[in-house]
Amino acid sequence: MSTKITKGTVLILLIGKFKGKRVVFLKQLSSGLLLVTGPYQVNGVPLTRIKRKYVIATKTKVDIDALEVPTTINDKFFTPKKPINNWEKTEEKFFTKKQELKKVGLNESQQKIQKEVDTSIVEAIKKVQYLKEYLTARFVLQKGQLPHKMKF
Amino acid sequence: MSQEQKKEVKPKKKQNKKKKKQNKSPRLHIDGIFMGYRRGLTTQKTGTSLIKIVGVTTRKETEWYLGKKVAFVYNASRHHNGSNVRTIWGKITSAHGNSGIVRAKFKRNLPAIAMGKKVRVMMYPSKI
Repeated sequence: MSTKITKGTVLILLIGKFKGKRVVFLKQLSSGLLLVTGPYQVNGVPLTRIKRKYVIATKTKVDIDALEVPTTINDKFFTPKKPINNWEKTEEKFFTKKQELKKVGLNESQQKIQKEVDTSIVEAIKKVQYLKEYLTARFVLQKGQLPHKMKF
Repeated sequence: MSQEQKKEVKPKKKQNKKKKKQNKSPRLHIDGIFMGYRRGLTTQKTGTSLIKIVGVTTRKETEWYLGKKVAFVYNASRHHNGSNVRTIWGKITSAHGNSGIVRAKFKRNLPAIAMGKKVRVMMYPSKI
């Protein structure tokens, strides 16, 4: 992988639900995907994986060299769990609307892991002036801005 | 009319105020115009489209855009999966000439109606 993207580099996501958001790079997983976090407190992006080609690497770097990402966060962590079979057979489930059962935000176990990883990153962000505001703001192409002339 | 009837006020018609779309999707694409198909004077090859990217005026500037995905977005009358917005995806293949125009190949050739219409040049696959 290119030498530009190292631990703590701020990346701009170009695709997906969080497109335009600036996130912190953690490590490259064995599948080749990049592991990334908002941090969740700062801009609402949880631990996610993305492909290198859907990301713009910026010069900005967060000082998290001391951080060790737990090895439990790997590709298996992100694979969806087994789907609920026999969906309609339980009477209760049959009568509840699917929308009500939709998860909003992170569940407890996810929140725990998120906090574990994010606390040191948030501390490092607070040390640099305007870095938190930078990560909260979304990247947008404004009128007259041409990406081939921009320096990231 | 009795006083009671007078007091009966007709319920006001609900004003259909258009809700401002909160959290509008940020623009992460560059606008381009579909100029036409690759052609000689008398024949056109509809497999390759010519795109003029806004703000790109020299052949050297087009280098950044090579390989990037392009989308032609249009509306249809029939809704499908809750939306009537449709896209034709393609990618920029090479430069065309010296003035910043670019060649693109789409999965399905662009319809002729699209000539002069906007096309979205995305920033991915990113090499930065």
